[in-house]
Amino acid sequence: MATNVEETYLYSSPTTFKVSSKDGEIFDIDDSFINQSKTIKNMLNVLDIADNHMPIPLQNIKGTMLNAAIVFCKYHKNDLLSIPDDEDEDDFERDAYEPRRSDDISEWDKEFIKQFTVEEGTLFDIIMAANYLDIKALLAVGCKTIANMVRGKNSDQVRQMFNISYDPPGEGLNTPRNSVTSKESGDNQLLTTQEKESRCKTPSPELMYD
Amino acid sequence: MSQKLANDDTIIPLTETTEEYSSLTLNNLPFDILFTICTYLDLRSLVRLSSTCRYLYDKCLHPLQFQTLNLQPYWYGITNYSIDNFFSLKCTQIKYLSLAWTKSIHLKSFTQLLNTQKLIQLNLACCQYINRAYIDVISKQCQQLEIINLENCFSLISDDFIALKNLKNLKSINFYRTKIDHRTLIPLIKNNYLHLEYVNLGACQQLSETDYIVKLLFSKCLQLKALDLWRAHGLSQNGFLSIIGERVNVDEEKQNPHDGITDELLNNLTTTVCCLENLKELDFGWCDLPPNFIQKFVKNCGKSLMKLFLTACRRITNDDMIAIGEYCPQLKQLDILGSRIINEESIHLVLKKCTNLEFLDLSFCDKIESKTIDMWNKMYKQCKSIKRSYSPRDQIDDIYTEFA
Repeated sequence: MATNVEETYLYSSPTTFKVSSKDGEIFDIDDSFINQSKTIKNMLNVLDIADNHMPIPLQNIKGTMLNAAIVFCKYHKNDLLSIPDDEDEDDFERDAYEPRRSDDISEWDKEFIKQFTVEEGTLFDIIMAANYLDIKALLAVGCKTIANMVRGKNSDQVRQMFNISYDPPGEGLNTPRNSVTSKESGDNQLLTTQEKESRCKTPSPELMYD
Repeated sequence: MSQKLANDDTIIPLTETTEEYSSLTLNNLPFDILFTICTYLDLRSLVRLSSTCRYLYDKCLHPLQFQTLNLQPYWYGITNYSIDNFFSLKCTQIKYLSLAWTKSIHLKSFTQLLNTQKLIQLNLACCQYINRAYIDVISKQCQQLEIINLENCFSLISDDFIALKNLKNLKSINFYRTKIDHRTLIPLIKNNYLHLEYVNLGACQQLSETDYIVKLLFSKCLQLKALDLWRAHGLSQNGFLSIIGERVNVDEEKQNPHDGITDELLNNLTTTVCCLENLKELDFGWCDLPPNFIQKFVKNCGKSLMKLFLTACRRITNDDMIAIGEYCPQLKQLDILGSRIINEESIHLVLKKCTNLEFLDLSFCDKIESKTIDMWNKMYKQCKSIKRSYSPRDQIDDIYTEFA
């Protein structure tokens, strides 16, 4: 906590900064954003910008996503004060290996994340933006939302939902690129495919239940 | 390419679509994001997701995703085939493993699965196939092991436990309802007493020399945070009194010398008062504590105590309760089920002083009126539940409704 206070002092004189998105939109950001985005926080500490009129370029993020992230941080500005400690640390009967909870998304967050969809890919965009900006709460909401969509579905349903094409061995995404360009690597490709086949037999969930 | 570039019309809609639609899909997300998503998934959903395409297979079923694995929910379906052909291949980095409830995993498959040298936690609760050979494998292959749970492993008898003493990093041991005895337990405690934090010896029916074991735990295991002695076998009044530095009948002790226990650790400690500052949970259920034992005990060990179970300890006194109010500021849960001595006054004091108290079980305490409990429920809102199953003073006729 003590270090947090010191860090805040470093950029405390101007409380707002400007950032610019990939597509050139410029946004004002305040403490709520700076405190939650570790990336920005670190950047400001290193840059020591005196002139807050010069926007910090965020080349990886589109304006719509940046705007959404700023809105998210404004809403959650007071959350930081209560970083959840590992409450159950001393609960010895707790299984350390339970999957993390994803049913604890707040109502506001649920509504917020609804504007992003799989079809348009915007759900992945906001997750990538959260990841780049290192906004833990936003990243968690995005990842939990996807986990909740996947849970309980069989592989076909997941394929359909996320528009994943089934790639039989030797084709599709994982085919080594260089195999197309040179003959030599054509042999390699054969080998790799075989290896892959043996290694990557499509796992069947039923494996565990026979 | 150059032709396309020359034609402006084709470029503009293209850039527009990248504005509106992202090129991202689930199966081109980077590893770290997919990994985070997968940490929220149960095993079955994870395997199904990874069956959709090879990219996801490679990323989602990465060995790092299997640092922890709980097979308990799938106990009915786990076969040696699935262990050999899937889990052993994926679990090369495993640290936390639960095989609780699984049926007859072959020794060979078990050995292979544990062959990572990295295991920290192993839960084998209710695994009836566990025998001495499996214990030997654990003691050889899991030197880093800190947490072991063998509760309800009925097939293990007497010397089967002996190899466990080779584990030197144990923080948590759970032998609830096993047949472990003092000959195998004492060496295990002696090799790990410096870091033991959680010990469950509940309902260990073969336990003898329990007085010595309990004294050892209370006087040497200074890191102890939780101790469960629910229905622990063989605890005598002297055992309890030695914890608080008292002893009623020393002659009795001399007539029954410990058989073969070397006492280098406990020399001159028999009358030492035990002082455990970190103790948070203690279960003395059905242990028949001597009167006023708790009173002296909490003075030394009550500081951090959060859960205290005195279930069916019929001889605990009102002075014990007053001392709990005095010395257990952290207390969250108290269970005095079945006491016919404890009165309303002393419980009221506990409620007043222990402001963190959330659960209080007063079932079968017939000195406490139901209407008083109703009043307390209104007065002490922080206490979420004051439990009262069966109040003997009201409606004796209804005694069997409990079991209806």
